[in-house]
Amino acid sequence: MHNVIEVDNLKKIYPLPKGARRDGASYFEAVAGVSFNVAQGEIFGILGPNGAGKTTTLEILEGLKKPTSGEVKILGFNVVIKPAEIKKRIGVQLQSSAYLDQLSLAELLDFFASLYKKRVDVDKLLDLVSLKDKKFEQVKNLSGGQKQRFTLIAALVNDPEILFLDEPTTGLDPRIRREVWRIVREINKRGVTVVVTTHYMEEAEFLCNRVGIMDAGQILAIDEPHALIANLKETTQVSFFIGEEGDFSFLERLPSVAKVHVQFPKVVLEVHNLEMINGILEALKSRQVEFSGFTVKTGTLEEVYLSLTGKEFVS
Amino acid sequence: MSFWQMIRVNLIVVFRNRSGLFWTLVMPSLIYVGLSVLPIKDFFGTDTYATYLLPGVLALTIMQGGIYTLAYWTIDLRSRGVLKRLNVAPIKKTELVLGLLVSRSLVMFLQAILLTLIGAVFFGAEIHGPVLWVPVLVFLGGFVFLPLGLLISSFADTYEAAAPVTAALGLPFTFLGSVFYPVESLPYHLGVIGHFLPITFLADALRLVYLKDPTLSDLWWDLVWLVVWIVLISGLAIWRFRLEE
Repeated sequence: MHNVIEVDNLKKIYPLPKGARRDGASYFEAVAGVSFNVAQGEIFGILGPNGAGKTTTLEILEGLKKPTSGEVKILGFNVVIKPAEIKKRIGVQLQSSAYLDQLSLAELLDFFASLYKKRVDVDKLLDLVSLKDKKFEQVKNLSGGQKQRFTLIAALVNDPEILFLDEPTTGLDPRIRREVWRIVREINKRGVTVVVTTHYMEEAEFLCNRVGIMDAGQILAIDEPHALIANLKETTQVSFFIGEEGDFSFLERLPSVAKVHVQFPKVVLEVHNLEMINGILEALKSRQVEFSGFTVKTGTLEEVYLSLTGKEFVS
Repeated sequence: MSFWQMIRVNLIVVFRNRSGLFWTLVMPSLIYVGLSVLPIKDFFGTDTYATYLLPGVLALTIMQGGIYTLAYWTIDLRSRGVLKRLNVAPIKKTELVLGLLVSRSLVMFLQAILLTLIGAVFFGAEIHGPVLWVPVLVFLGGFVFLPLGLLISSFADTYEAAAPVTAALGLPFTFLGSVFYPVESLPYHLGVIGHFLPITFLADALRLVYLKDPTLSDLWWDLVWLVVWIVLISGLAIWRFRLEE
């Protein structure tokens, strides 16, 4: 698969107004040298807390902001030189979208399509997000979830090759969030490359083929979600309750068990490798240890973030 | 294509906004009728004040459509992110701005028709000059004051920031600009300012068309100055007006 997005050492620097200057700094690096590629057909996630620089990065890719330095190529076009060529070929859902109040959903889709000099099958688009019965409604009469679904299809009027979604599920309840994920996957299956920013770990884990973890203007790691988790040391925890106190040092000698914490009545093991869970069970059985409440907790992207930044993830 | 779409959508937006449309059409009519029923006779060579006032109120309405209506509307669109959403598409700034100017000028022409009808039916007003001059002057006026509205919106992010600017422009335009009385009746120094305000050229030209039967050379001075103002303000507006933040 060839790369449809190539970002090389991208920086965006804002001058700080005099009142906001701290420690003598007269500028603020919103994006501080970011590099990544996205292959055709991927769902690529940029995960990070508010203020990490996700939206700024995305808006530079979309041709809405100018980079301070670095090179960005979208579908082979340089964002600084050919923003119009890029805009024709991408779909964009902004973090918060507002529309002309007086137009119906159908009229808005028609209008947006006309900006690309295209015609659009309004019914088919509305059908994709189950909004066909709202065709003649205005956006202000939609619920939060319906509005978010509409902004998704409004980004599809030009039949884009790449779809950019900026925090598509922020503020939505979990049921609607899952519905949005289903639609995004559906769109992706039709061959559209998707770039999504999020501050929901769950979203990145569930939706994305690859995730870049961003903090303070930098991408700290890029990989498949499970690979990021697998690379974590001692993130898988096995725990169980014991009936009586005893010597559990034999567990430490099992392969891939890193640490054993015994705090009666609970025993917690830190494990490198999930394959060894059976070994632990067998060892316990063969020593006739009575145990209950056997639990395996695997790592999450939350912990990946924590280990990369040393900070608790606050979304 | 998208230029015509822009005009169409703009007109839909104006006409579906019921309360906005009400004030767009009713407010100038109220000002006109309210002042016309005042017992002022034989005013500056016209039979009634109503016939003198009609072109003035028309110029006032065009001015307000630009520096109040369009400026506030644009500020609202920018602050809600509607302009940013449009900028996601490969639109050209000039196409968007031209679409805005043409559609809003059409609304002004509608206002002109309404005011003229009120004047004709209730106050015996007539258009003595070639009628074609009315749409031409309305569009020239629109192309002065609509870009001025865009220019204001490009300096002010909020209503609070825009209000003093529109007041600072609107007040002299209203009271020094040949709307209610001739500039000649102003104290000397105010008159000097009044003589060169764009609204003065617009009101004077409209007044010539409504009350006299002017030749092109009668209108020459006003037309040239209107064009000067259009070039000046449009140039500034196109330079300042940004789709991106």
